[in-house]
Amino acid sequence: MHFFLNKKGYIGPIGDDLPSLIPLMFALIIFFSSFYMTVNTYNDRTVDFENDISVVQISASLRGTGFVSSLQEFNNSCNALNIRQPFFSAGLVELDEEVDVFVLDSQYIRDEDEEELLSDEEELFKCTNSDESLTLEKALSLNSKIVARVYPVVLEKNSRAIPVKLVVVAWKE
Amino acid sequence: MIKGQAAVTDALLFLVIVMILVSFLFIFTSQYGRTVGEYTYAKYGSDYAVSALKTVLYSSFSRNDFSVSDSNEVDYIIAGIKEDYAYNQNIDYFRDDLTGAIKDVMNPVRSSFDYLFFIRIDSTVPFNFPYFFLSRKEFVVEHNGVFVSSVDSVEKTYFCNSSGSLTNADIDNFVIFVGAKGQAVSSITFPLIPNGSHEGLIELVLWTPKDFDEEEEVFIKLGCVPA
Repeated sequence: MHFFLNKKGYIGPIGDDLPSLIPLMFALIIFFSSFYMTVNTYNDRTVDFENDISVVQISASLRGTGFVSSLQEFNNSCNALNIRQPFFSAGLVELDEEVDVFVLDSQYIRDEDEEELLSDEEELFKCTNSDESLTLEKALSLNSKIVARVYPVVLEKNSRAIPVKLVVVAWKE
Repeated sequence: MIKGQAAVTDALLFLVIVMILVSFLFIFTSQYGRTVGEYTYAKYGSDYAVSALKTVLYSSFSRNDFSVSDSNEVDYIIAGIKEDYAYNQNIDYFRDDLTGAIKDVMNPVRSSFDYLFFIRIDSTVPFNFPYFFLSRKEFVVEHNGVFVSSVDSVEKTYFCNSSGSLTNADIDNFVIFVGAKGQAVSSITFPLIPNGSHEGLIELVLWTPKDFDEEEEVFIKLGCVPA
């Protein structure tokens, strides 16, 4: 009985600190939520940078001097690229054609001058590191990141210098 | 009771510390990658300008009435520019072909960039700027006599230096005003008929569309008239 006489209002070791637990929990929740958000933003932007940097590398290699003289030269520039991620598809498209990133294969310029017997796919001014092309489904998926860039280049065709555009699309699934 | 108050005070202090940390995290999140993002955008503008300048100058044009693909007489646009300049130190005969080529090449980025393309002659001649083309978008449109901001911009094109009094400083002031995102310069020698030559520069400057009207002082100094 003497033990409780001098401790009026004492409701136990945890009960006594109950009001202090509220700001403590509040602080912890805010901290971990912010930390989670920061890590997510950091990761997202890092992926964006990787895509951007890859597109710069791909376009620099494929543009070369800005003058593409043959499919062979274009393919040599393509083979010099060693990029596994992100996936990319790049190629030459007519200057006045509106680019649709989901049907790029049908928009790439075909080399009709090529004398060697090549498959339909090999005749295209196309460079990619993926067997699959970008689809609307992939683009709409939650974690997908897509970067698309267009650069003008000159394509030599039948001894004429034709302005075309180099399209580079990079994505991460 | 005193022990309880101390615990609450400690908890509140902890909350304040956490809030400060959270503020730092928010600042970091908002700033992270901003510089890299701006750099990659500027790099794209710069790469595009360099590619566009080369493409414009080294594309083929037809020397007769046939299209480029059907013509048996084709040449580079830069050859046409030099030839035109050689006769009267001006780009007039070849002006439309050059303007068409510039518009075609800049078409893919028409919504991202405004631009100016000009030829600058270093020596003192009748035309210091024999060719000066500017394309910009205007976001304020007239609707029933009232000027309103519009999301759909209107593209306007101009030939500048109409008064012939344009100076390098006027161009520099305009470029600073709009904030260039990409710039490409190529030096060029213009042969003259019957002999001699002029040294010059061909420049292409890109910038993110900036909303200003034709009454802007730096723009007036360019002496632009609708193309």
